[in-house]
Amino acid sequence: MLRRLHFAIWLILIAVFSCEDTEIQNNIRVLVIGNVTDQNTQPIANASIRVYADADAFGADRVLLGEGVSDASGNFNVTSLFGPNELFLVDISFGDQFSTYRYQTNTEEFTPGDLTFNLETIELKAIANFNYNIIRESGEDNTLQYSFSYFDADCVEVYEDGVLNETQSNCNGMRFIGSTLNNLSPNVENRSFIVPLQSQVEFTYSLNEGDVISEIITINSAEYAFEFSY
Amino acid sequence: MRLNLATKVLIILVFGFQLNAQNDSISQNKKNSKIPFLFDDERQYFGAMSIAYQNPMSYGDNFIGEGFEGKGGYNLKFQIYVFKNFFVGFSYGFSNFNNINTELLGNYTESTVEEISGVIGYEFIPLPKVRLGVNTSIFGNATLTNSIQSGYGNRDFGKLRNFGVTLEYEFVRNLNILLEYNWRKIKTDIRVPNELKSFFEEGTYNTLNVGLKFNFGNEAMADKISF
Repeated sequence: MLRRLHFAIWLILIAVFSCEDTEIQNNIRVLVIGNVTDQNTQPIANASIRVYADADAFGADRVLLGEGVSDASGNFNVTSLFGPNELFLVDISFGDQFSTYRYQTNTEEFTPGDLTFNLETIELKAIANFNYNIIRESGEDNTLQYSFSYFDADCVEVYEDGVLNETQSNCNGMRFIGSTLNNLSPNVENRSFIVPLQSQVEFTYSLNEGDVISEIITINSAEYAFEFSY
Repeated sequence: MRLNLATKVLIILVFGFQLNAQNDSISQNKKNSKIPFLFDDERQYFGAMSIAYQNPMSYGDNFIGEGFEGKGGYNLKFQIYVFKNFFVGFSYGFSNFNNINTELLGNYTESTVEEISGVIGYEFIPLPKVRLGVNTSIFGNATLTNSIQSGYGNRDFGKLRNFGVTLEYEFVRNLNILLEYNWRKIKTDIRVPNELKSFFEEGTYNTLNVGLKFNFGNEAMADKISF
C-alpha cells in the first residue's frame, strides 16, 4: 500500500515538474510574410495563415500567436506575438481542396535579426482523393502483391537558424502504400489516399509472384476512382 | 514595486483623511482676496481626490487607433493644491480595450492599459460652484496586459503622456461632480520589424471620465507653510 502511495506521489511530482509552459515574450512582435499560389502559380486569396508556438513539452499548450489571410494577390503580412519555444509553426491552408504547408523552426535560441519570417512563395496544390477497390474475381488461391507510389500533397519545411534542413523537411516526398492479397484477405475496398491533382500515381502489382507490372495513373479529377480486379 | 488596486486605494484614503483631520484645526482667518477666474480664497482647498469611470476611445494611425476598441475603465486621482489652485498629484487608472484587428496586432483578444503618472495642473473658477481645470502628466508609465482566451498573454510597456481638461460642479460642500476629457499617448518600448515601427512606436486614445471629487482642507500648501 505504502509503495503504491509512493509511486503515485512520484508520478504526480513528475507530471507537475516536467510541465513547461509555452512562452510568450513581453514587448515584441514579429512579422510573417509571404505569398500563396496554386500549382499553376496563380495567387490564392483568403488562404489561412496561422502562427503557433509550442513548448513541445509534457502538458504544454499549442498557442495561437497570430493569424490572418492572404490578399487578392496572394500576399500575406501577419503580425504575431513571439516567444522562445521548441516549436514555432506557421500553418498555411486553403480549405479542403488544397494541400497544406507548414513552416517549422525552433525559437529557443533563434530569433530572426529583422524580426521577420519571410516564407517567400508557398505553393498549395489542388488535391484529389484517390479512391480504390481491388477485388478478387478469379478462383481461390490466387494472390496479388500490389503497391501505389504517389507524391505527398502536404509540405513541412523545417528550418534551423533560418536555414532549411532538408533531411527533416518533407515536401513533394514519395509515399508508398501496398499489401499482399490472399485467401485471408482477398479484397481491399473503399480505401483512399490524398494526392495532388494532375499528379501521377504508379500502381505496381504481381500476380502469384509472377512478373511485376506497373501502371501509371494520371489523377484528373478531385474524386478519382480506381477499380482493379484479379 | 507593484501594489494591488485595493492597497493603492487604501493608501490614498488614509493619507487623504489624515490631511483633512489636520485641516480642521486650522483657524479660519482666511483673507478674502479674489482674482476672478484665477482663484478665490473662500473656495480654496488643500487637496482633493477623485474617482471616475472612464470611457476610452482609440484614434490615430497606430496600433491602438487601428486595433483597439474601448470598453471602459476607472481612474483615481489624488491632488494637493501647492499654490492657490495650482496642484500636483498622482493618477492611477486602467482602460480596457478589445482587440478588433488581430492580423495587425497579434492574436490576443483584449488588452488592459494600466496608467500611472504624476499630475500637475491648474483649476480656474469661472463661475460660482464651477471649476474648469487643465492638467498634464509627469513621469507617466503604461503597462498593456494582452490576454489570449486560453489564459496566455504578454505585456507591453511604455511611457504615458496625458493632457486633460476638467469641468466640475460643487453640488455639495466639498463634493464635486467631475467631467474630464483626456488625450493620451503611449510611447512604447515594443520591439518590432522596421516596417512596423511607426505603427507600434506610439498609441493614442482619449478618455471621457465621469466621477466624483472629494475636496478637503481650506488652504493651499503654500499658505500653510507661510508665517
